[in-house]
Amino acid sequence: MNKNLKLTNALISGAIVTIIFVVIITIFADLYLPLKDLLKQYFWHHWVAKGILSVIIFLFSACVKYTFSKETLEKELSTGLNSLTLISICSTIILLMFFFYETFY
Amino acid sequence: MTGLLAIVAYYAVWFDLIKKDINIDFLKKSSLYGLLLFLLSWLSGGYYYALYYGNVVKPIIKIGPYPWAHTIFMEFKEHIFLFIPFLALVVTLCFFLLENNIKGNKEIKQSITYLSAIIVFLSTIITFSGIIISGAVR
Amino acid sequence: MDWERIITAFHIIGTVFGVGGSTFAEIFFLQALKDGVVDPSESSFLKITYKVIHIGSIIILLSGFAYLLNLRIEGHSQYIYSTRTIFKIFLLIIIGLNSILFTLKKIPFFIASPIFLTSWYAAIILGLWRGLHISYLSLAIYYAVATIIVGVTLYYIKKFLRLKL
Repeated sequence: MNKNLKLTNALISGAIVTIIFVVIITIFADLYLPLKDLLKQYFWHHWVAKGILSVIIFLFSACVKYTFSKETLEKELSTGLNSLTLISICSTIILLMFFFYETFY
Repeated sequence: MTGLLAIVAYYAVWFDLIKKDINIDFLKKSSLYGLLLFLLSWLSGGYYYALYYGNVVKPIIKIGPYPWAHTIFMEFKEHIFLFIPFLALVVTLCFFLLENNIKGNKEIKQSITYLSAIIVFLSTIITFSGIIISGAVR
Repeated sequence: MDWERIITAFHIIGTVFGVGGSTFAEIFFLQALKDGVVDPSESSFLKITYKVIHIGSIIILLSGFAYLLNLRIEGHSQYIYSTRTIFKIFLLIIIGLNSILFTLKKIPFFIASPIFLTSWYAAIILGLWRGLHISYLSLAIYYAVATIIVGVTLYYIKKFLRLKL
């Protein structure tokens, strides 16, 4: 039973890291064009690059969390899920504000 | 279309979670269908975006009367959609791995409800963005 | 193959399910309120009606999307931004949110029910009223006023029938 809690917690952590990564790479790639060109060079399209890297980052961070975390309590799980929800909302707002800023300023 | 069906599946998940007695089998099936549909949408949407949109549709929008449809809504849509399948994966695996915890723990159930609601909201915003982008192709 | 006709047919079927379902849900609920208690057989009628409304909503959602896709493919993208189209999407979102809030018991039945009825009937009226030229704000005001009128009418119907509110 605790293995399931531990695995779910690892997946939640993986998702949180992935979302933060998507926001950072999106903003940096738009502000620093050589990064965008680098992504295009290695993965043919910048969006495809972000997609593939997101999957890799998700799997890597979930594995690291699972390997190094101790017992997981139910309380930790609900905190993790709420954090994931909050980070999704904040990331959405940040990206929207960034694209508005890029368009009008 | 697959994205819309995924929204329907996750709306059904959200709706079932807010009831007093939840049907865990229904939640498992609905969330799994939703996840598969999101993944299908990711692949088909990505294919269309990478191969067709950039060269054919984007230039039309940028020289048209609504260039912000691309610079705001398309950019927003393509990046937000990158993390929705991961949110859907977390929700789906919660139902498969934490069946008893969800039934017995109000806090976990509430947290998954909020996450399912966010998936529905974000996907709806993405669909609406798609409509705005399509309307800008003149 | 005339896709527009096929899509329109499905759209009408979905609207019929939704409008008919919400009308009958209201009638069955008023019937159930006569003795102030919703017994198992009345509850089962309501559940079936809600299922029909859900099916109608899904058909409308998918056929509506297909209709927009058809407009885009046929090169009539300008109609996507029309007031009628955008407002009908807005109505579908209102119906969805209203269902959630009502199930969560965040809004009482006397508020949820006029919103459901007005939204569904507004969708059918907007669908029929081709060539309507109106601003979003005017449409929103008419919708809000219509919801209040429907709510007040339902209140007086319940009072007239001496239902246990």
